[in-house]
This record gives sequence, structure tokens and C-alpha cells, in this order.
Amino acid sequence: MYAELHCHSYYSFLDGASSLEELILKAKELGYTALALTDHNNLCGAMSFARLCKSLGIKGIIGAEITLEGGYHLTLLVKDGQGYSNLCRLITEAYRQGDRRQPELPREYLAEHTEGLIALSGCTKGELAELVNSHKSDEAARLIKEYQEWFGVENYFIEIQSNLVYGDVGRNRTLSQLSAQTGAKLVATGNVHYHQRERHQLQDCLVAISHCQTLEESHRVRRPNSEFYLRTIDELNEAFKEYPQALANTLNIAAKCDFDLATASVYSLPEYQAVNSKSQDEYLEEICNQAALRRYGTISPKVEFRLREELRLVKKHRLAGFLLLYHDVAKLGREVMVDLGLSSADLPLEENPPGRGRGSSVSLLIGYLIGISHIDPLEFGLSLERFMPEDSLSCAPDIDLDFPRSIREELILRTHEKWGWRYAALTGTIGTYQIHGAVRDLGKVLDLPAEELAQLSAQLEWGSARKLEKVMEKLPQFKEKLDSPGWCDLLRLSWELDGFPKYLGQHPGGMIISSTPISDVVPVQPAATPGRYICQWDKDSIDDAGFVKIDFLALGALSQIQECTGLIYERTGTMPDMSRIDFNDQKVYDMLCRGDTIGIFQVESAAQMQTIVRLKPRNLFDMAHEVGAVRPGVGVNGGVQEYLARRCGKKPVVFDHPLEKHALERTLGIVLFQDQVNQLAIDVAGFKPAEADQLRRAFSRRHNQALLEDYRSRFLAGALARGVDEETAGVIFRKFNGQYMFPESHAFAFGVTAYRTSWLKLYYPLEFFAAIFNQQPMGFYNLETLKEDAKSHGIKILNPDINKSDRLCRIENGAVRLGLLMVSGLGEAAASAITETRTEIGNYKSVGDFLERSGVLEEVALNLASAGAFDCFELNRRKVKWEIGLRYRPANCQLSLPLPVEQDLAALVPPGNWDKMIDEYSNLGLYPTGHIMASLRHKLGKGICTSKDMDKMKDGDYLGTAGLVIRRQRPRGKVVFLTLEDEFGHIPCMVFPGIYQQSELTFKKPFLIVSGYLSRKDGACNLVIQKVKSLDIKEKVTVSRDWK
Amino acid sequence: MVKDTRKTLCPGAFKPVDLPEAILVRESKSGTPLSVRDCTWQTVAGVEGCWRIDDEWWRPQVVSRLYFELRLASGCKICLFKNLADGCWFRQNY
Repeated sequence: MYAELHCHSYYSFLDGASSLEELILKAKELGYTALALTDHNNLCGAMSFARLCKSLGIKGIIGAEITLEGGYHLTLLVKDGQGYSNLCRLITEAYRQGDRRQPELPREYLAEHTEGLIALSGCTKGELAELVNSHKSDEAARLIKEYQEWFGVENYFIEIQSNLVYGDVGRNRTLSQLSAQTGAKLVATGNVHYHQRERHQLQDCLVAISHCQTLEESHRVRRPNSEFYLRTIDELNEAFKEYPQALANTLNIAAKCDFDLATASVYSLPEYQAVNSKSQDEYLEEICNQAALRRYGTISPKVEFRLREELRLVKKHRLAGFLLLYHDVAKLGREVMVDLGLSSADLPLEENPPGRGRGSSVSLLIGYLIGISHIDPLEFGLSLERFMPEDSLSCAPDIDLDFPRSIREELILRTHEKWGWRYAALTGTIGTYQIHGAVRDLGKVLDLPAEELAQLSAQLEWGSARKLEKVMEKLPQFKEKLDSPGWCDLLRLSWELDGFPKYLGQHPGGMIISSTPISDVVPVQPAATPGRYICQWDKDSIDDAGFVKIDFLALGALSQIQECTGLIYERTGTMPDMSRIDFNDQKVYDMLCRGDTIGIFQVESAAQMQTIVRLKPRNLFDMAHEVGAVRPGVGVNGGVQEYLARRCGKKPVVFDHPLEKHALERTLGIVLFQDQVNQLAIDVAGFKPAEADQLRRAFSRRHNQALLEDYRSRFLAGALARGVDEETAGVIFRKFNGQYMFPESHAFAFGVTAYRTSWLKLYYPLEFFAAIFNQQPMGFYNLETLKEDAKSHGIKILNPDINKSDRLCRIENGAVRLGLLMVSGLGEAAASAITETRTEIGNYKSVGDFLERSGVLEEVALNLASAGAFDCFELNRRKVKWEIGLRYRPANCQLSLPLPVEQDLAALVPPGNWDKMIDEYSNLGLYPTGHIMASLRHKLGKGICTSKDMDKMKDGDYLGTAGLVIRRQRPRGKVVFLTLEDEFGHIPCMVFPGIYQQSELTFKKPFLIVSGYLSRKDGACNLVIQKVKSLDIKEKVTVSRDWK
Repeated sequence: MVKDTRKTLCPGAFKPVDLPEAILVRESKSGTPLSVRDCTWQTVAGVEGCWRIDDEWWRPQVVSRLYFELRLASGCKICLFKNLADGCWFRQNY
């Protein structure tokens, strides 16, 4: 048979044109003995490849095609663990020495890291092939000798390729002569770039994209033919009929490569150098005991029992070093807080911790004591099982920490500095093609008209590129193009390109810390941001490898709370201690139960607003249920509705089997949290905890059909053994799904943060809104909606003022003064220049004085005028703009003459309210003094109600209304929720799929006039839309925030 | 120097060079040429080179050709290709 030893997957970004699954399944179908993965300068797909080969039953060989100094290609294959480490080091070094986009490895480094590797001389871009093509046989022979010295004669092979490319025959004959001359053996490879011939078209497109050229233009850089696919054994025999031994050598090489990345222990948990010759476990225990005394005063039996239990499990799973590492990270975070003036060095770490824990780790008491969690798990009865089960851990535990943005950025840099980039690297993330990217890039290479592509792109919603045909069918101007040349190629190729990796990027906050070099386990390369380094695996591969990964996440809500408390301190002299507020304040819950949740973390979405008025939370447990309930994994089985119905007594609390009670009693028989899936598997089917966790994870894996079938059989068998009949077991198993649900502890952590935000909104609305304005972008709402909500809370928003505004929004006499940074086109440098000059010399006296002193660009000055920043000098903004035009002098080396302009100032008609409003919307994103719907109301005709009128209407009433669309949400393709806003408030609407599909284009317009039936149900109110038309306004106002 | 004819140039005056010329070929089962009709039938003594081109698939006229550089029994060399779309053979220098 045959082993393919030179094969590129789509992880050879913008070059390989097939997925790992396609390649492996095809190789298996063709009867290959083995398949090597040799992507360009990376091992991004190596872990997935190893696991897939294992599960699909073919031998996988890890390798890479690396680029040497001079741009020469070399194929390397891993024989053993040492070889794998060497390959990781070689790729890391290639990035370190070369450019981030064009890595190149110095030859001397290669020579020092050959153990455990087999080298193949490379494709036509290999140094050997280039020497042969240049007729430099003597040099070629010397090169072979050199590689034989480095790798050993038995580990270096001359690669011959026969892809029907012009020159293949002659080159192969010369290589064969060199083989005879030097003793280096020949090996046949396919230089595979796709799994089947037809895929060559996509490969052509990828190459054109990578060169930013059309297909026409990229003629010289594309492969000349479609022969770079996985060929049949007969085709290979024909192609290499002059070199049968070269084919046989593929099997000889494959037999030497025995490294299995899927099962190799490439990573070990970090060891920690504890102090005072204590062991890691002893040191951790000491820290926890000290913190427990500070936290609790005396250590109660309950605390003692839980702490002992956790420390026992930590010792069993050898996690002490891992947790102490987190403790060090928390200390580093505290240093950052102190440097930023946000905390005191005297404060114990567990008081006001720098980060907030999330996820299942929040159930750890140790976490609460060492400063990585803000939730006392004992207070909320959080079980440890999900995070740290009794039996063996299926993978290293994940601890995610949320930080305010200001702390997180600095913390990442300090973590790199403290541990060094070889020991602390950021997690990679693979950007993939979705519908927008596919249309844009493929449209360009196919040379389709740019304007038409732009029109099409504007109609696309986020999602899979495979939806393109359906979208085009609905658009009249594109429906006729479905079969046109170029466009039909776009459709077909978009389908193939969907989900393809585009590039390796940096995960927002995931970081791996290790006590042994990470670059021995996975290649590390510089990130796009200077000073940062990323490993070449994404979080799935990192999980599979058992890495310890810390997620430093920037949570806008924490930044908002931090800023808000800072503003409160500025105004009142006292900073509220958010860890000590009353978490049972019913006034806060009253506000939440009314659905007054705009700007409140986790509970402000349309779906959350609909739910919270029915769930009516009255304590933190309820908040956790509120936060956890509105998740895809709960909603997919109608869980939310069922839970709400049981909660308000409309339906009884029932269980499909008594064995469900332990897991589901506290959530009224409904699965709301991930942990409950685990618990059901344990209680109903007798799964061990680690096994139960693997079952839960299996649901969200790709290509999991066979895996899920296997788990289902095991579940049913286990349930049967526990006296559960097959039908009931099947019903219970169907409650599991691959959609996302929160862990229970995570929901508690978020529920607490949601409560804190609510408390601030209720008691300190001024500071709350100033902070939320300053922390944009975040949350679900645009500035206009936030402004309207502020108004409804009695907070006035003031236009920017050239003498009163700071860079950011601030409190001014009981109102919020918008900051200079809110003006379009005004960046940090200009804003700082304006405020610093003002501080140094004094307030600006006139428009001319401002222009002279600030040095801002004319466009910025005009935008400031449009935003009303010069209203303090002159209310006629048209006159101000005229003056700017007369006085503005660009800053260059030539001094401007101080010519008078007063004689040219014109008496211009002031802009009307409509023009001022449109100007403010364009430049600020909001209209502080009013709402556009007030100006449009006269155009709406009779019979159009306002949001205020609707408050008086009953369930079932038919009415018409109108508003600006501020939000669209379409969970799982079911009912569309959209919210209209008018000058009095919001109008929540629902649109059923049939109605939505009929008028989909109209529903995407910014201003709608709708009619339908009012639905009032359990406190929630919606207009169920039956008819829609748009109100066409030429000017662009604000943009709605649309969500999947 | 070419004499100036003082006539206006027109597009028809430009003719492409090296256009493929149809040629008859007898081929083996695997598609390798066995003999070619270059005035008379000539046996193929050896295949010096073989390569394939696939291009312009996005146009109506796809270019998909299998080229052969052949050594004939007479000692001459000839370059021809098979149009993989319709199976026709053409002679063309490469």
C-alpha cells in the first residue's frame, strides 16, 4: 500500500483546501497505511489530527513543512517524543528569527535539533530541488551529505513528486541519480493540498486571496493543475512507475514514526516553589487557613469540613501548584490595582480581589480564600463535584477570571514579564470563514462587481456561508444571478469555504503558564500585538492536551462598576464597598421585577427582560436562576417556559423519575445548569463523575454522532441497571444537548455582579449612566437608548461643551456632561490636547481662540460644532461652522498670517431642530435634548399609538404603533424579538417566523410602522406583529444592536 | 527596420503566434500517445515529458490540457496536448 507523507490541510492557511476529516476519511477510503500532516510552519491542527486519526482508525503522523533561511521548504516528520519537542522548538525559533508572517529557520539551529525527526528534502521549493533545477548537481550532492550528517543517513530522504508539473520528469531523474551517488534513499510524496481533484478550484481561490489578487492576476502564483489531491494506489503506481522503491519507502518511514500526540503526556501540571521549605500542599493550606480566619473570624465546623475536603482532593489530583500559580496571578493583579490607585497594598488579597471568578471554579472555597473568587460557595450551597470530582480529572480544571479592562491589559503584560514568554503564552484562536468573509474574499478573486458585492454584504446576517443561497433567493436583484457565471461559482465555493481557518490569532484572554518551556510542547509565535506571544493551539487542543489555562477576561460590567464607584467617591468622598452592600434589598429586586434592566449586566437582553418580569427574582438564588435560564441549552427544549410555568404554580413540579430529584429539585425539575447534566448521568445511569463530564462535553464536539450514540447506549444500560425503564431513560437522555448552559456556580457569580450593577443603578443613577457611557462599547444598547433610559431615571444628558467637557463623560450639577471623546473623529490625542491646553492657559474665549490653541483638524472642529460644543459662544451652529472655515489654518511649518476674518462672517439662517438633531445623531450617536420620533410623529398618520398609550391597553387589543428599531434578536431561528423606541419609551415586539419571512427586508429597516395584537402574559407585554411597513428616512440616525 | 507602409494599423493586422493545430493521435489505454500523424503516421519512440494544465475554470472555455513532449522514431521532438474537455489532440510548442 502507501503512506502519504506530505499533506497540507486547511491549517496551511490560505493554501490547504481540505479539512482534517476530509483528508483522513479519503486516505482511509483509498487504503492508505498512514497519513502525515505537514502544514506550513505550524502545528495548529496537530492535536485534532491525532485524535481524529485515532477515532477514525488510520495511523496519523505529525509533521510540518518548515521554511528555512532563504525561503527553502523542508518536510519534517516526528518519530518520537524527542522529535516532537524538537519540531516545536524549530517552529518556535523560525518565528523568533524570521518575521511574524514569514518565519524562517536558521540552518545552524536545525542542525542542533534533529533527534527524533525524519527529514524529507522538500517540494520544488526545497533547496535540493532548486539546486537540481539550476543544474547545480555538485552543490546538490554536498547539500545531501550535510543533511545526512545532521539527521543520520537512515533519517534523511530525497523527496520526489510527480504531479504532472512541467519539469517533474527531468527533476526526478536527476534526483534519482543523486540518490544513487549519495546513498540517500528516495521517497515518493503527493504534496497534497486537497482531498479530491475538484477541490483544486477552491485551492486556486485561496492562493489568489493570499496574494490579494483576482484569479486572473494570480496565474503565476497558483498551482498549474489539479493534480495535488490524494490519489488512488493505481494512480500512484503509474505516477512513480520508474521508482517503485520510492513508494515502498513511504511505508518504511511510516513504520518508524510511532509518536501518538493524542495519548502522549506532553504536558505536566506546574510545580510551584513554595516558601520556607514547605511542600506545595502545606503552603496552600497555610494560606487558606490564614485567609479563613480573616474571612470568618472563627473557623466553623462547616468551613473546616469543606476546606479539609477540598485540600484532600487538591492533594489527590496534584493541583496545589496549579492553585498557587493562580494565587500568584491574583497577587500580580493586586499589584496592578495598587499601581492604578484602585486598591491598597495593605488590604488582604481576598478582600476586593482584582478579578472575579466565573465558571465552575466559583464553587471552590479555596478560590474564595486565595483571592480568585468573590463568591462564598458555602453561603450558596455550591457543589464541588463539577469542578473537582472525586475520581480522576478528565482534563485540567479551568479557572476563568474576569477583570476590569484597565487591569486586564496590564496584567497580561506583567504575566509575560514575570514568567517569560517561553513559560507564559497566550492561547491561540483560529479565525474562520463565515458568510461575510466568504462573500468578500471570494467575490474579489472572482472579480465580481464591487458595488454588487457591497449590496449583497449589507443584506447578510452573521452566520454560516452555506446560507448564502437562501439569502440570495430572497433578494430580487440577486435571485436572477443564482445561475449566472461567477455568481454560481461564488455560491458553490462559499459552501466549501464555510468554517475554513483563515488565520491564527490571539485568544482574548486565555493564557497558559507552565514551569517547563511551553515551546517544547507546542510552537509559540509572536502575536500581532507587540510584546505578546501565542501558542499555536486553540482552546480545544489545549484542553485535549491537558494544559492549565487561565482566562483573563475583560468584563465591561466590572469596568463599569469600577468607574461608577470611583465617580461616587469623587462626588461624595465615600467609595461604596461592593462586597458589603445589602444583597437582600427588596427595592433593588422591585426595580428588576419591573424589567427596568437596561444597562444591567446579564439581564438587559430582550429575552432576559421578558423572563425577569415573570420570574420575579427576590434573592441571589433567584438571580442565579434568572441568569442561567436564558441560555440556548435551556431554551432548546422549552426549558425556560416550563420553569417559569412551574415557578408561578401554573404547572406542577414533576420528575420523569425519582432519581432525577437530587439533581433537579432546586430548579423545579428543569435542567438549568451544566452541572445538572453531570449529576443526572451520575444519579440516573451510574456514571462516574469524570465520565459524566465527558458525556456533557461530547455534546458540543464536532463530528460527534458516533460518540453520542455510544454514550446513549451506555446511559440507557446504566439507567436500566438502576431500575429506570428504557423509555424514561430515553426521555431523560433527550434533555441533554450540545447548546451552551452555565455551570451553576458561574450563574451565581454573574448573578451577584448583576445585582451589584442593579444596586448602583438604583442608588447612584448619575454615576451609573456616566460610567456606562464611558465604558462603551458594551452591553446591548446604543447610546440613544441609554440616554432615553437615563432620562426616565431623571438624569439629564448635556451636550459636549468646549470649556466644560473632559475627555470622558463626567457629573456636572446633577447631570451627565458628555465627554469630548464622544464626538465623531475626535481621538485621544485631540481630546487630551484640548483639555490640557485649557488647564494650562485657561478656558477658551472664542471659536478662533480654540482653533489657535488646540491645533485640531478642521473636520474635528466642524464635528464639535455639530455636537453643540461651541453653543456656549454662539447658538447658530451654521455660523460657527462658517467661522471655522474662515479661521482654520492647517498646522504645518509655515506660520499663518493673522488676517482678520470678521468682515467675512455671514449672517446665516440657523439650522432648524431637524437639522440639529440629525447632526447630533451623526456626530454623537445620540440626541441629548429629544428623540427623533417626536419629530416624525406628524408623518405617521392617524391611529398610531405611542408606547405611553399602550400602557393603558388590554391583552388582545389590536393596535398600530411606530418607532426606531433599537434591537433585534433571533434566538435559534425561532421568534424574532425586536424593540421599538419612541419619545416615551419602548415597545417590545415579537414576530413569528412566517410573518418575518414575508417581510424580512422591511423588518431590517431602521424605522417601522407596525400593527398587531397586544399580548400581556405573567407581567410580560409584547406586541405580536401582524403587519409592517417602513418609514423611509434618508438620513442615517443610530444603528440598532442586533443579536443572533 | 521595417518600411513604413503609411497604412493605418488595424486589429486584424495582428495575428497570434503558436496557435494550437489539430493533430491526429493514436493513444494507449492509459492515454499515452503511441503514434502521431505529422504528414504521415510516425511512431512515438519515447515520452520526454508529461505535464498537465488546469486553468480558467471560471470561464465558459475551461483550459484543461495534458501535454506530452515526445521523441518520434525519426528522432524529431514534438510537443502536443490533449484537450481533456473533448479529447481532441493539438500540436503546440511550449
